[in-house]
Amino acid sequence: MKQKWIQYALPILGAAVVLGGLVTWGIKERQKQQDYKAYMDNLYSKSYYELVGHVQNIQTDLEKLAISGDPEQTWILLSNVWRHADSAQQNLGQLPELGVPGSDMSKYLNQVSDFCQVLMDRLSQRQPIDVENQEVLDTLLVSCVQVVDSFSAGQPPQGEDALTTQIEAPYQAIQQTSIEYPHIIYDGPFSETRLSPDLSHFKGEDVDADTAQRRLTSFLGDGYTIERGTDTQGDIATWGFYATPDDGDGRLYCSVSVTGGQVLTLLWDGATPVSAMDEEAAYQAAIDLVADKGLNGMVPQYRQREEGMLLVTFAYQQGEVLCYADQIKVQVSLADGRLMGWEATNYYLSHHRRDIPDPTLSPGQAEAMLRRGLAVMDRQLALIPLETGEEVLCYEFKIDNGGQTYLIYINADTGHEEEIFKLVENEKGMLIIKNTGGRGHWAHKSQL
Amino acid sequence: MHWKKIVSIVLICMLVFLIAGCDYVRAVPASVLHWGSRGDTVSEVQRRLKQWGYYDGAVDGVFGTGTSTAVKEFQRKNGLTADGVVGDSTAAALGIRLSGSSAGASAGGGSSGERDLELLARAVHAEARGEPYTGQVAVAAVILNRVESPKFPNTIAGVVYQPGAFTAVSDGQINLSHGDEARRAARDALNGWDPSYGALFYYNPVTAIDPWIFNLPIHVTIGKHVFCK
Repeated sequence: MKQKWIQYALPILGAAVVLGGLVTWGIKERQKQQDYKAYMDNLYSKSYYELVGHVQNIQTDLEKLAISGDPEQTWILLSNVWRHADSAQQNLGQLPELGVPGSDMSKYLNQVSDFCQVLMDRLSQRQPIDVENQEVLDTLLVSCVQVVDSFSAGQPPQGEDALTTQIEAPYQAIQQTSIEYPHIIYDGPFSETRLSPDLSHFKGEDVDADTAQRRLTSFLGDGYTIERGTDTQGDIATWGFYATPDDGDGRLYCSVSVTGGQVLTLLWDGATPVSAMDEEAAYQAAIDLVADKGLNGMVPQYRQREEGMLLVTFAYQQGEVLCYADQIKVQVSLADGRLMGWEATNYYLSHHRRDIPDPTLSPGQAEAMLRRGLAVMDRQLALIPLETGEEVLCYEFKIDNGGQTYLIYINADTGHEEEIFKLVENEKGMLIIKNTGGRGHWAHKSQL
Repeated sequence: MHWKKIVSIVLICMLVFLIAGCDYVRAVPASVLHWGSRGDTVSEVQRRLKQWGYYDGAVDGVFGTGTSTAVKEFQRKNGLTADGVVGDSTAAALGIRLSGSSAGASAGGGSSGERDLELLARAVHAEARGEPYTGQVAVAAVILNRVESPKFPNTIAGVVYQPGAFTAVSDGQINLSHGDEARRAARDALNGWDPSYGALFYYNPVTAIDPWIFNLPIHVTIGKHVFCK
């Protein structure tokens, strides 16, 4: 009898222990989950409240701008609006998107921040805010008021269920309010005119797929099997092909433009070459390749060694002036110097015969605009593309400051310091730093 | 007797349940792949060798005789020691990274440029590993296009970590270490290659659920992703 009892007791006890363990674990996990939820809630709430706060500040400062008569005060107000709009835009990016991402409110805030920067830049060159600019500021203020109103319409609810509801209610309110954001055109990267690529220089007769394939074949030369690939539509329509080398592991992804039938892009999809040749030889191979394609006037700018390939960037030089917008990038194999990559979209989008007037300032005068004590190592005339799409003639000075190399661009007509880039040279080549994020220096900027 | 059986069965079921719940065990990648190795990295090797015509067996993550022969042929053709073992140099030529191998000289380490590259590479790996190389470059380009667009955050981190923007970020895959292929793709995109020619969105038509995305003008379809603006 006793034995029988133990026989039952043990397994039941075992089961109870396991069950008890599971339940405790379950409760702890749920607790943890609730803690995390609360933590996220708090982060979202912080972003939301900060967003509201910043936009309210923008409204106040825009109102003050409309009545301020003092240039210094105007400057301070503009920099405040710029700062608040930038922070607001960041806060917005920290909140979960509901509905269609790529928010119009974000675009509005970026334009406000951007426009103020442009006005500040002009103030610094002694150009005050004119009537047209003030009108734009007025339009921006109107939208701002609407945004502030939409925030008041939805108060974030308190309560425990909150993760989505906390944000959802005010957000629905914001998105349901139809706010008329203005389309503003001005000299900045977020201007309406810059949201699509400028195709005014992208000319030529449309070609069909067969012609495109013939162009590609003559571009690549012998030793490739070419077949149809994926075409692209949109702003830049292209015919797509794959080119498989007879000896090689992988293939080139190729795009030939419909307009003009130019080879825009080659991208290697395959094994990384094993380095076997001298970098100088590969560099020369890249230069020869570009010349071979009939592209004259292309001057090599920078090179970078990356995993079996050498990347060389080229810019077009017209006379004495380097036109940075017309850029081509070439990748050659460090195994045998063959073409592995080609990117000429920017070149074909912007290349044209330019009327470049002589610079107003002499080299000496331009150099005098530099800060005292900087050691000038090199000088070059360059046409640089501004954020607005306009091109500006500058003297490019390569300077050394305490062991660091920089490029300073002095406007050849006004002497204004347009831009500064930092050059970092490492064993892979040259790294050009403007600021974090994005594609950086004009040698790498995309027009798209 | 009847009792005992039931309890035993219940206990066994619980044990099975517990074990099944422990699904977070990850195979630790080996630092050198050879005959007998198993895992995701082996599958990667097999996939590539198959794509380039060296291997015609199954992509099953098991490094057997077929894989070994294929590796030898690849090594022979690319000037490497043909020993059938995937070490650092063979892995580099294949375009994959083995764990424990030294990360290819990240010079200027800690510089903002390198950090951006690493983050972009991880995002590409999280979102598009297994996709054709061109598709990976296109994904990286979409992220950079968003940075430049006023409708999205203005930094790479801002775009990548925007809540809900990328599913692979939301579910933590962004924290997986990326391979060399993703890094190359990120770098090509940073250097200006954009196979999507300006796209701001991409989706997998099989799994996408938001109706608005289907109305956007399509730029190109690469692999499983449709790129649109």
